[in-house]
Amino acid sequence: MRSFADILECARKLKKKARVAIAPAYSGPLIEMIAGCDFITPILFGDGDMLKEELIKVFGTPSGYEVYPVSDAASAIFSAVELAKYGKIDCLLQGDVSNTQFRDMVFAHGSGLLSGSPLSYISLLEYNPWQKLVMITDTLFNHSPSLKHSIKILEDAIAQAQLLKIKKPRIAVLAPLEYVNLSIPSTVHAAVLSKMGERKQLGDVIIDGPLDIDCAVSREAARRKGVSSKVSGDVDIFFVSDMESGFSFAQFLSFLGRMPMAGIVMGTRIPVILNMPFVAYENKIVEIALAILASHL
Amino acid sequence: MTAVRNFRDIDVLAVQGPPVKLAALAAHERECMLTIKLAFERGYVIPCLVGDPEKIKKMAGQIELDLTGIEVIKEKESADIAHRGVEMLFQGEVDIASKGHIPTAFIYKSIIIQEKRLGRKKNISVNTLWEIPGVDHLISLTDTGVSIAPNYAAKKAIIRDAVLLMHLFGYARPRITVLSAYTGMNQMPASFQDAGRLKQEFSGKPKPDFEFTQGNSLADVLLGNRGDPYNFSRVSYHDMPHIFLIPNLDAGNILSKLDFILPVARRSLVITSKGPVIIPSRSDMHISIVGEIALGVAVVRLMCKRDL
Repeated sequence: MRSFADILECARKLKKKARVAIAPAYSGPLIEMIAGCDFITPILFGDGDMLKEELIKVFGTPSGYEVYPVSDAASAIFSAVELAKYGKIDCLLQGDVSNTQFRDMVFAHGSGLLSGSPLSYISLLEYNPWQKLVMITDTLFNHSPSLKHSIKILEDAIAQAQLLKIKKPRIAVLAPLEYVNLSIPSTVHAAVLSKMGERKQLGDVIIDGPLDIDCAVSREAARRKGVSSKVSGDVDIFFVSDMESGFSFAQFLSFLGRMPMAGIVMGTRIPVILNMPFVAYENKIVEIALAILASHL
Repeated sequence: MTAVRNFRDIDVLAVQGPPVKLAALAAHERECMLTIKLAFERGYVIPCLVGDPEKIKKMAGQIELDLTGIEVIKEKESADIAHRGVEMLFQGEVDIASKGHIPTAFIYKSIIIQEKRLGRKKNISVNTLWEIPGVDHLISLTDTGVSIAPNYAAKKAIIRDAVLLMHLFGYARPRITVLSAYTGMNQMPASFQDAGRLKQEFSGKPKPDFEFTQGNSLADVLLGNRGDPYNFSRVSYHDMPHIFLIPNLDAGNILSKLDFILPVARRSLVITSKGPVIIPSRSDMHISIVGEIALGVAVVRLMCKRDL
């Protein structure tokens, strides 16, 4: 898959519609967005009467949509998580609720939705210069992950690359230098990950690090620095050392490079889709498609 | 004063006066020497080459730079080259120093030693300036090169340098975005706490000469607090701040070099108490490095005007 259109096409080819819980579902735009997803069965949690009104407004009829009437956002999330625990839904979408409330109920230990792998967030971009999909991880959750966590985060990204049918993902482990500097932890982690990849401990991947961004994206820049790298100039996964780097990296690429962006949460038992303002609404449908594809694995 | 809005304005400023003296540290590499030659020919600088004379002469010969009248100061070790060149800047023998084929860490170390002697600054930082098409001012990303994980005091010093630069460029009240990855979905990082503290500390000033944006990310700045769905056609770049304060070195390195991907132009420098130091990346070509020299020369001229 090389574009968001490819992802949507793939999701539409699935025979069974996925059951996607939206908790809570209050606003018109969210309901309208769901209208574009012909490959899901929406399960809406919210004010029953209001939801029926919205459904009639958007679709002409409230039939064909499962509605769970609940009194407030907390009840909506609680009910959706319960359904998830019993395998009744394929995917959970954050609705009209604050990030902190959603986080505290869905990502808390004991919610039953965590897989045991650290939570991470992959920003997936239609990367204009290379006309293909590129992932950046982790862009949201991990402030300064341990090496052990970094390995897990990278393994999850590699699994996601396989879902996107990238057979042998090319991974650049980014750091401020292309040398190991013991004062800069990211360079040390990058060297270890790179060696693990070289020894096939991370599966069928091509990986290199530490690489600074110019060496990662430009063969000429790498040549000028005397760096010979197999991933230079053609990367599928940018692995960043911390969420601060990843968060801004993804946003700068997307907003200044006009590269459409979607996000994928890793580390949960079923796919969870966040309602992040930096992901354009038109790309929410791509996030849903990605979640559906993951749920069919 | 008319504000400096883009790198063309910088280039114009660089030739509005006699050439300034530049110490080129270890300029024996091809792109570095080509930079010196071009900066000399354009009338930006009178170079003084600090490094291994044999290597310097050899490379000068290869690129046909006539060294007649150009001072060459013999130093062979990287640490000595950095020390000598930066010392020349701090003693007023030159107006600018520029990095050649030498590890950057040596130069930072030399600057910090000289600043300590002077007793003026405890922290130094790299300001990376971006010219973005459609944005009517230059944008500083800082610190992009020195502090691995700046603490609160270091962030204040970094802001001071960037604000000084923006004031020199004629922006009376630059807007600063303190970047942070906090969204409420994740645990609160120090960057977000520092952002709040900075805003609180400076909000009570009677005549503030800079201001903070409300949001702490590029998306916050561009989308505001609308909270409604967006698409690219509705994003406005008019609200771009003048300064992005970057949370750590890893982020700084990535963001500052996005010119390899994005349609932006980049020039970087360190502002010391005694003048600018140019720190090009080893992957930069002479055409872009000479732009950084022009930036340094422009800053020297602007500092002279303000008697700094």
